[in-house]
Amino acid sequence: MTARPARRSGTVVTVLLLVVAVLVGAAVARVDTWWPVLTATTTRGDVGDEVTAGPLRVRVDGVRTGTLLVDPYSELTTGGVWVGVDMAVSGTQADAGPGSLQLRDAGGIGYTATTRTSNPLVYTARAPDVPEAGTAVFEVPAQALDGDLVLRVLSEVDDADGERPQAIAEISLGRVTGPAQDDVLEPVEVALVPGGWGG
Amino acid sequence: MSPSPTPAPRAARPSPSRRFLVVSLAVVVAVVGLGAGIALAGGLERDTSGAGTHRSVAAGETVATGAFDLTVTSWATTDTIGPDPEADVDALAEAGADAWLVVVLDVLDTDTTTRTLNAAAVTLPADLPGGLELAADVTSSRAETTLLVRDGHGFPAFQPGLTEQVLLAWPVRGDAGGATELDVSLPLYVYRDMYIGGGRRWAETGEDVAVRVPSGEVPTVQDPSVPLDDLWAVEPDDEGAGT
Repeated sequence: MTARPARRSGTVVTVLLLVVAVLVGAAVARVDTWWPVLTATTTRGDVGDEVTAGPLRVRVDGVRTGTLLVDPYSELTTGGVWVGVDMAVSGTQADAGPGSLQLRDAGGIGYTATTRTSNPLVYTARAPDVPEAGTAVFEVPAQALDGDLVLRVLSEVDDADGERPQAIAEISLGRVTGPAQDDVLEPVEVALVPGGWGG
Repeated sequence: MSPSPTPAPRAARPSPSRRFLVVSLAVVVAVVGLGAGIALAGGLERDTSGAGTHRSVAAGETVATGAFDLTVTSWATTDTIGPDPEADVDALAEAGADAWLVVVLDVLDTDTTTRTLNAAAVTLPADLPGGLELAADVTSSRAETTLLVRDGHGFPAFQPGLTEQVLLAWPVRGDAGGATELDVSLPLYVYRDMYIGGGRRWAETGEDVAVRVPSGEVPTVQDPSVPLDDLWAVEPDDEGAGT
């Protein structure tokens, strides 16, 4: 005998559930833009720290800048600034090398390691726990040095266009001072680190 | 005789006005909730697909094409474009062409990451000026060669915020005659989701911007290489090795 009130409140509940379903669906569709993608496989560190990210172990030793890039084969000018990150890379369980090296400035803009010069630290696999040190070279506009820089070492692939779960090391480089007018950046040739990681 | 059964007293029903209130409240909530859901999901945003517009600009004006701001400055026909003239001549002979048709433009990456310029960034018209025609196997919508003027790099990757001058070249046959103007078009791109496989990409919208380009000098592509010392010279610290 109480069927009618139950039916009416049943309708209200159904409508409310419909509304909740639509709202939750819309929120889920947008949630990736509300929170940055941060997987459990992103490891952070500072200059001088040995940072392990999945198959890679890296350590940044220093950052240099220049207006002219001089390697054994060429002298390269730029409309911006050359940034050289002196770093050591090795594998952890197996041979591994960075899939992509990227500088990210304070505005969130990413600059991939330059292809105008050979950048031997990128792509080449290094043996596990046998670190090799060299310089990763980036070309950035001068305004990128106005804020803090972060070096992103992506173990597999550039992640600008898709979210692919991969191990990433993010190393804070802090404020990098720009070069004087005639500063030259000479990348260090890749060489084994004497004494390995402990040395 | 039992009296005719009277119907059991009906449970008191809410008055019609109360029912009206509940129903209308539910309708309002539903409408507001659905509207909020649609807004959250992006259904009320302005349509930026740019349908129907076909713009025309003069050379030297910057056009935002999506990931890049392009400024087309001039065009020319020339035998050599890169820092290695012999390689250019060989490449022309292989393509059965007489010269390169070169379009000079300034490229600025306006995206938030490093990008390579699509070889289809500039499309040549179907009718080239004068007696020019494209060499075999070359399409007007994709340049054969992309060169960075600063150092002759053949596959430039552009960093955000850094403007670079670029040559796009097509091998052509024939003579330009006295033609001074070339109408090129710049396709427009939009950054959109890929529904199959996930991720996003810069996809053509189907719209383009026409640019009337005057002929001009081809900028000299710089050669950044330095003369190499004798590669077989013994370095001072190699003297002890190999004995």
